[in-house]
Amino acid sequence: MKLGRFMDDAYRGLNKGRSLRSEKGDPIFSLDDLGERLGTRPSRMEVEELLPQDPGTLKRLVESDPGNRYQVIWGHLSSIAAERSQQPLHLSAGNYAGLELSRGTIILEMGGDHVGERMKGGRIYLRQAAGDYLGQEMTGGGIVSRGAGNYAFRRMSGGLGVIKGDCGNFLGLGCSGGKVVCQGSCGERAGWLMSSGSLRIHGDAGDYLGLLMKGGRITVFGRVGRRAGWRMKGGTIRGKAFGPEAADGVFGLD
Amino acid sequence: MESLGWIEVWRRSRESWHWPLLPPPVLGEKGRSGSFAFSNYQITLDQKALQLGPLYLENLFHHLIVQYIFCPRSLENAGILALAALKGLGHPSGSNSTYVSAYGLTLGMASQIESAHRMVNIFSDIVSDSFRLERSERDEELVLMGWRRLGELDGRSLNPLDRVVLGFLREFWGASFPSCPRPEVEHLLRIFSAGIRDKSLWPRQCQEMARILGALEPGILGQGPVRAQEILNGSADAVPLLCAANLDAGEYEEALAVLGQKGDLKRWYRDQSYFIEIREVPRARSEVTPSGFAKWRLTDPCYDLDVSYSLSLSPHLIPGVSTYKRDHETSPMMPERAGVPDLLVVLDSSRSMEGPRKGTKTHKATLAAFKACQFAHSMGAELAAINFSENYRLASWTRDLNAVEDVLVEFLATRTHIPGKRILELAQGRPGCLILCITDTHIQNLYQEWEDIKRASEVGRFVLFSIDPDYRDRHVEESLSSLGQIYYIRQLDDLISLVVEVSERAYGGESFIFS
Repeated sequence: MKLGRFMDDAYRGLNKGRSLRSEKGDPIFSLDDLGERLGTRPSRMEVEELLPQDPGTLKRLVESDPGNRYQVIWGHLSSIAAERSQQPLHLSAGNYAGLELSRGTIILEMGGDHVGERMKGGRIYLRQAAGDYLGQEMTGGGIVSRGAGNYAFRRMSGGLGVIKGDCGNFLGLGCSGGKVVCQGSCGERAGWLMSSGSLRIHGDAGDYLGLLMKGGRITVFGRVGRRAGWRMKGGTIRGKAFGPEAADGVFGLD
Repeated sequence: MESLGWIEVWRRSRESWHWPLLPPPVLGEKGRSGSFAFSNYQITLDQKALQLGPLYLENLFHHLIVQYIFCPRSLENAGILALAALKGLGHPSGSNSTYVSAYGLTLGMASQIESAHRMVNIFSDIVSDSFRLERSERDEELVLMGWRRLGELDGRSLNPLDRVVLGFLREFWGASFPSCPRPEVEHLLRIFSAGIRDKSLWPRQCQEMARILGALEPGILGQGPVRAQEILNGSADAVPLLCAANLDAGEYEEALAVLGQKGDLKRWYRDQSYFIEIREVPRARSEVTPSGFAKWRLTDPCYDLDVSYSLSLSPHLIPGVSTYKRDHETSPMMPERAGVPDLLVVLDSSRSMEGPRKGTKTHKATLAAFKACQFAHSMGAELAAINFSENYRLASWTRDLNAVEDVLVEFLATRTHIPGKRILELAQGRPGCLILCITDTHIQNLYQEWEDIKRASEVGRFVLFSIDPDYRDRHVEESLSSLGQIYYIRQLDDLISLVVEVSERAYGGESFIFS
């Protein structure tokens, strides 16, 4: 029996009682519920399609713990919340915060991995050091962090990244644009495969700085490890002092 | 109890819900403490409940009726809710979970099943009573009376789960139940904020509810059987579950355990096979029958000309003018009833077939064999089965589908020794039978048994489904090709469709013996 007919039969000849309150639309009960419907790695568009306009629901979802399973969804939600908010969005911590952010501001109390990944605009401030893959594939906007792990600003093509402390290996790997400033020291292979953009390191840099770089500028105000500019095909590397086996094309700071 | 006239109360309750087809409660034995049991509905009324009078009983009957006709109503709905509850409780639903027998449920699993069972019942309590509450003022009065009694049992000793549900219903229904300041109440309100009428939301609501309430210590709520009509009518064993189609055997067993049912491999295969369709397309006959007269023209063959009729109308035969022929028309006739060939299934269950997990060779082969047997059985054929590995299980010619399925479902998991002599004996028992042999052809004793298999293929029609063509031996392949029809299966999914196709052809009115 169809539900409509069942209802008609059930109410036949009775004075209808009171109606319980019920909200219209497709409800989202929790982040897990959203994740069950979207899978673990949905696109931004898929998330936006299901997400109601109701700010309360969005706030609740952003405040919930995504666990390991729904981090990408949470990342998208954090960006959507920041874009919809007039004020900076304060979040405690989380991987993928500010994923594909296009406007607005996020202030993160603690860092996580993949913060600001694929961001196109807006700002992200981290009060503590970020994890790995900070600002990976970002094309615009700005990130300021106390420090960073490995692969910070990997394949960046635009925007500004400022690391106020030290960062790990592979800073600016495959960069094709944008500016990165590291106010501390960085690990090995900074600027590896870089083709454009600018990398400024105020402290020391590890071995293989600018390995296989094709373009762009790297400036190091401290000491550089061995084999700087190894097999570089273009671009410029400047440093205060270079370790052994530095390439011929590197320059000292005037 | 007699003074309450419970039969009259039951009659009134059914009338109120427009006479649903539910059996009347059967009064069981009276308990020592004066309690009453309705055995078929598995409910017991204690003295305190009886003292509340017929109104309490009416509420109870209304509650039962709505559960049986609205939520969960059927075993299928209950199964969907059970799966949702298991998911919500964080039950691992990975595709690699293996089959666990009913006696192999671990303690953790058993406790999760118990929890999921409770969640399904609590969900159906909330949905059906919310529905009743909205129905009329009188229903509201009855519903609130029932739940108030739970709150009044002893407000302090209620377990957290019961307290949270009562606290939620207080907010949801605006009723005067004991309040509960826990955050779970707010979560539950959010889950049910969309109402209870959208059935498509029920699994998600049940899942979320289980996620929230799963951690709480259980109390009175959620006990008792799941109220599905098939369970009440005693036909739960025979009902196919659509939701089982995507489950692994272990998950299927757990979902049924939540509903208080025993799920085994045989039922798992059977439920899946119900959803494979074999079309019965009998070959239609057509017959030519004479109809009226038509003009005979020069382009028509001479023998068509009806001279006597033409001359009876005119003394001169002028072609196309006074020449006539008899016209004919072709019309379809009822198909001739062909003899139904009996079916012998020879199934490989050696270790290389990988065992009864979803997507394995064993799974697809057994499922195809089940379907072929069901179809042949429905067409009136007798069945026989051999399930072989190093040893073999055998079901001789019978009309008992269960006996054949019992043989097919076993997984022997040793080496591959085909029992050629037994196949020949069975084939000779029903000359002209269809022999479906499903194997991955890693047969180690093929040449020893060759003569018997060859003779069996001459007695009946031998169709071989070879699952593992990548490892096929050229000599074995050449030998087998002389037996009859051979299908090499590259994609496991093809196996089912090919077996279905062969069954369709064999039982769909075509005479396969002479084809």
